[in-house]
Amino acid sequence: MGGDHAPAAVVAAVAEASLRGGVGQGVNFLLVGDEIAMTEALFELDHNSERIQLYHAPTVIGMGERAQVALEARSDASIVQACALVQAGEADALVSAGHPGAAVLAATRHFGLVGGLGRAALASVYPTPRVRGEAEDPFSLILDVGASLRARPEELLGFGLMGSAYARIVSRNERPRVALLSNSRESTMGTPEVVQAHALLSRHEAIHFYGNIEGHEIPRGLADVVVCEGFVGDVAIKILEGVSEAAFDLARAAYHERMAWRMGLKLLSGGLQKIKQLTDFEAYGGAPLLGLEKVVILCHPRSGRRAVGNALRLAIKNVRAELPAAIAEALDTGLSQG
Amino acid sequence: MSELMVRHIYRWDLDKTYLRTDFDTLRDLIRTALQTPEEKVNVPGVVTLLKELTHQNDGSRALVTFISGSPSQMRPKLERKFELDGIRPDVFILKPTLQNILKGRFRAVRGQVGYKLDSLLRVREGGPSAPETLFGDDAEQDAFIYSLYADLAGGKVDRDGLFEILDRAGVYSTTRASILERYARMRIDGNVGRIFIHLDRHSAPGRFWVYGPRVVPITNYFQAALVLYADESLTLEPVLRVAAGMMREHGYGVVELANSFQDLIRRRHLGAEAIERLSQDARGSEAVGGLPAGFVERLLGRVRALAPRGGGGATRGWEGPPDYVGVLEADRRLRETIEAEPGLFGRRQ
Repeated sequence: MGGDHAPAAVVAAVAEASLRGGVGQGVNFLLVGDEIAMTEALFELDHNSERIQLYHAPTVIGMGERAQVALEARSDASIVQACALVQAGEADALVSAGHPGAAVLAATRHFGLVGGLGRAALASVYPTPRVRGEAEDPFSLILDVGASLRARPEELLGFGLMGSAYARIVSRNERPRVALLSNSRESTMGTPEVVQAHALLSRHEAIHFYGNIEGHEIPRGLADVVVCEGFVGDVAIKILEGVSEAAFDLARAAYHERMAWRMGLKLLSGGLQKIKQLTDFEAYGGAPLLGLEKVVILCHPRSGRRAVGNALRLAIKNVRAELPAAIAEALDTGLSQG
Repeated sequence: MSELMVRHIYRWDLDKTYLRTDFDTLRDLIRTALQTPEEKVNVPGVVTLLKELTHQNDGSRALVTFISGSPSQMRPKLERKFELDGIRPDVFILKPTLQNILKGRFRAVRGQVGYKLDSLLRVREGGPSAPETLFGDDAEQDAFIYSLYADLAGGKVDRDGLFEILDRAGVYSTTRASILERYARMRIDGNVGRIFIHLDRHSAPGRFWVYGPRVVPITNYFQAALVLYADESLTLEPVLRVAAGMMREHGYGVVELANSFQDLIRRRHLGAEAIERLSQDARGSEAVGGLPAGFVERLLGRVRALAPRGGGGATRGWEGPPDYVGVLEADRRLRETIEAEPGLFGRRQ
């Protein structure tokens, strides 16, 4: 029950999901956090109480805290309690909008890693002009975007296998193109890890390898899955998000500046609205943490009701698709080949 | 049977309270009108609960009245439906919709306040004095009407106050005169107790707090049974039979029932004393067919998942009676408010 807008946004998203049919049909929700605060929020919201259970956890790990220290000090924190409940089989998936580092650490401590990779990867999506797969997803998948800082070449290969499996299941893209993020398209350029990873990815039979791509090529959608180490991915995804937000801030400022610009923007507003919807992080829901035995979705800490609602939908979809098992299988066969 | 002492009166609405009825669109309305009695579907748990409440006991009986907003032309079908369910209402009133249309009283076709309040007072006039429990839903104005009726029976609203409320509610003058006459003759005995509002639309429970703790919004009839157990109107076995029926006939699982139980505790409708009593009664009770082993323990497990109640989470304050005119005014304002969707660069012009 962390996040900038918790508990209100999280409780509102769950209340809304409890009323929904479709993807959420028949799903029960377990809210973990300060029970009194969650009860007060639910009291004022339309919801189906048959599908919601509350579990009291008195503390939350704050955004400014060091994840490892906080987790060790506070076993009563909501993220720890939530992980324990999922581990005990009380729930099938974990969705968190709280401290991302603490959520990654708590999840990896509680849930086993699949497929012998030894590392989980946080996967984020980024909108591109190209659509892919049967689901016609207009998104590229980028991983790792911050589950860990560094990755060995074999781990980058594992990320490629996990990303491919995810794209096959979620985007229904039978042959996803995997690219390695680097500072050059040349296979011999980049850090030693990137050069070695290129070699591993290019000769792997289970991976449709596109080659290296540079940062500016991510938004062009050349690849369906972009592989990189966590530090690089985290920086890249934040730059991409920041650029989109800055563009709209500029448009908003221009709107109030001159009448002619206002008229121009009015004429373009339909198209701009579509672009805004596409680049709005709230529309994606959250980032799946791949490589664990349980489904884990991490939301942006700034997430509002809509983002958390979409994250819940993604979690349900991933549970129904038995994603952890599919990824375990992809890694088992893929890593033995590699 | 009629000579037996009446120990309790249960007053029910029909659509969305007893029957699962859709009349939100014209298509729903037509379909509902054409449904055969066999096709009509009950709200889960309602028939079992009603039978448990009316079960003859110690030479006394419970009285059941239904006051429905359905048109009186539906009577044969609805009476047949009651017969199929094994329910025998003592009073069954339907709305004279056709008469209202022919007389041009179109406000009365849609409005419920005048019709239901007048019917409640009329039935009360001719009936015995006994504690009353009311059942309605969140689709229309049941909470408002039932609370007003309870406050009239408790002497909490005077004639002038009632006149103003009826006036603001747009009740026709003839119906208003009838209500005021009945009110003048009304027994002021404070006999109206619990009011259950079935959340057919899953409305926020907070919406009903304006009527105070007497009104209990419920998601299902297992919750109603639990509150009646806390009120000592039911023993544990009937409550468990309602749960078993919902599992057997309506596909409920332990999780949904346990969540419903926890919801009542969170909203303070089940206190520590009732939970303790339930725990003790469960030890001495016979197993109820259809319920999985350890069912009550699963319910009680949900209590442990909640915050310790000492100190934190004080009971909400409420002072009655409700400001009925204020409620009507707020309702009117809400209906009149059209919220503009914010555009890309601010509010839509």
